[in-house]
Amino acid sequence: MTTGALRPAADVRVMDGNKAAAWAVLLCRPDLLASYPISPQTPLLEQLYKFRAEGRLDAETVEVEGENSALSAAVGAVTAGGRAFTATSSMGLMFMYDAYLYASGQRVPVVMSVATREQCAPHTVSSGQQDIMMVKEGGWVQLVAESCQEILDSILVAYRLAEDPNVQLPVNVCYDGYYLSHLSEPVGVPTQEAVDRFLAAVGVGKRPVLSTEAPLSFGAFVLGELYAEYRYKHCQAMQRALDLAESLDGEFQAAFGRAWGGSIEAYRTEDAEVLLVGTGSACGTLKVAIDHLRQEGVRAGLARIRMFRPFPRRRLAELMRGRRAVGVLDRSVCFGWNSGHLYVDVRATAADLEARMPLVNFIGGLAGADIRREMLEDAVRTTVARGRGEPGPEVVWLGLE
Amino acid sequence: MKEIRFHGRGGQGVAMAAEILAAALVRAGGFAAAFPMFGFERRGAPVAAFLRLDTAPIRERTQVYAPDCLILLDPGLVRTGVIFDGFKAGGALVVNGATLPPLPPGVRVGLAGIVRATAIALEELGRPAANTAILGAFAGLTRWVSRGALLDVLPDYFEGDALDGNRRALERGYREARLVTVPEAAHAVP
Repeated sequence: MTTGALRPAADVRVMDGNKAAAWAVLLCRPDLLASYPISPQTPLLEQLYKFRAEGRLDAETVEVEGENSALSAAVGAVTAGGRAFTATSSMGLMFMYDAYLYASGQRVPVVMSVATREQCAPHTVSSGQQDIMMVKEGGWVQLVAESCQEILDSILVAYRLAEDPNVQLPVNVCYDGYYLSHLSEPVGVPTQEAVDRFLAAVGVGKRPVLSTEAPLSFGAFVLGELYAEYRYKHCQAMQRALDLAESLDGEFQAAFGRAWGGSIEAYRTEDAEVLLVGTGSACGTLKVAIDHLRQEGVRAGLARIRMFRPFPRRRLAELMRGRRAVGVLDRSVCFGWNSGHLYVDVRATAADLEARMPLVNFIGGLAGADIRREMLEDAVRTTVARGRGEPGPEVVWLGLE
Repeated sequence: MKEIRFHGRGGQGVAMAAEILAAALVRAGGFAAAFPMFGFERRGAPVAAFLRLDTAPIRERTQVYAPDCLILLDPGLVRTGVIFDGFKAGGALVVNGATLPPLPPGVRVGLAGIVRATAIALEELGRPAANTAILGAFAGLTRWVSRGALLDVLPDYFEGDALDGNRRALERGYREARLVTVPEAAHAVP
């Protein structure tokens, strides 16, 4: 599958992931921008304020006293019918956790990017995916990007997903702090007209909002069966978001000339004996490692999870079926299972298959530690060895053991 | 693919040097990706930046371990003993200063150049942001990017007096860079 390749005719500029996110937000014409700075997300908000100062972004801006208020302001704006954006990282995300759960439980279609960062302690500001894993069961849709282009494109898709009347859920667009937030590379910026056409299906008047003309109850106190109904409908909406992500991929390609693969990008999986599973920027390096090893005859492929929540269980099971072994790359740890978070999901998915295969987890890249190509080549080789029946630990800590 | 590693200190414009060079390389029709690596942000702390250039899209998202070129904005960092790690035999070395720093044994330099980038920056900008001057030197010494492509992208990063000053600094770095002969002793393999 060819994914994300730039077309030369696009308006290509070199920018980092934060700027790519800011361009996407500008093109989506938000009504409200709520902001509180935290590394490595801060330059994104600075760029949006620059756009506003230049008269290019016509949005209300609210500089709040903390992340909880940032998300709450966005929730208010969206509930009143507007389009809102905010962004955060790490402890900022933790600090807004009750607003985070409120946004999803009340089905508020806000879009928030997360420049992912390690979660303390010990204190660090470096890259990692622990922050988004800490909120993975918060009822939001979570998209994870591999490149700066994909950050921009994913934010456009995020508004389509969030505001779709059949979904109406908040969406996180997640990208690795520093490794993408501060990575400068060519990004094609679509035209405003093309984005307007793509987003025309959602927007003002297309979903229920708070209004004095058609009163609705919002934020009511709920008990028992009605609460269960809320939860049931939320779960159903999550599954509809998964389906919509698959179908939007084709629509996105028609509009912008790029396809990304929907919930999962399958890379060189057709004839793969072993499958690697990962998410985020390290998958770029992993593709290079796979290409390199294929020259030596190693038949490996990659399932890159683009939509982490809801988890693309059915598609991943199809991609796992018949492989000799599956290796999972994690940039976070799940204390409860003594492994990475993605690994837990892949193990659960394996239970959908008739035949078992060896599974192995690789944990690396914590607190900005570099995930080198050589480490990933070793990881692929280890996965191949497990497929041949060689014993070894279920969880391998890259660079530690 | 060629790989470049920048070494300098917070305040010298290390991260922006890598970003500007990436923009110029893409402007010229190639592909490039660059990112900085720093700890807790503060002026004066060591900063590294990594840049890859190629004729195809770049997918690696890792630091540079085997640079074809080292750009040293602060050659004093050589004292840390890690600056030349992985430096490719016959690679290019661009140094901010009037002389080359002492090279570790075994380092084989194919092309070495010096430029007084901090002095140029102080004269043209009034502050020691040596990044644009050393990019001019890099263009003149290696020819991996044209001076014109670098000048073309400067308006994306500076405006007003800062733009004029950085244009002058870049031009002077291009003109004033000098190739130097690496002392034979530096080629000695231990």
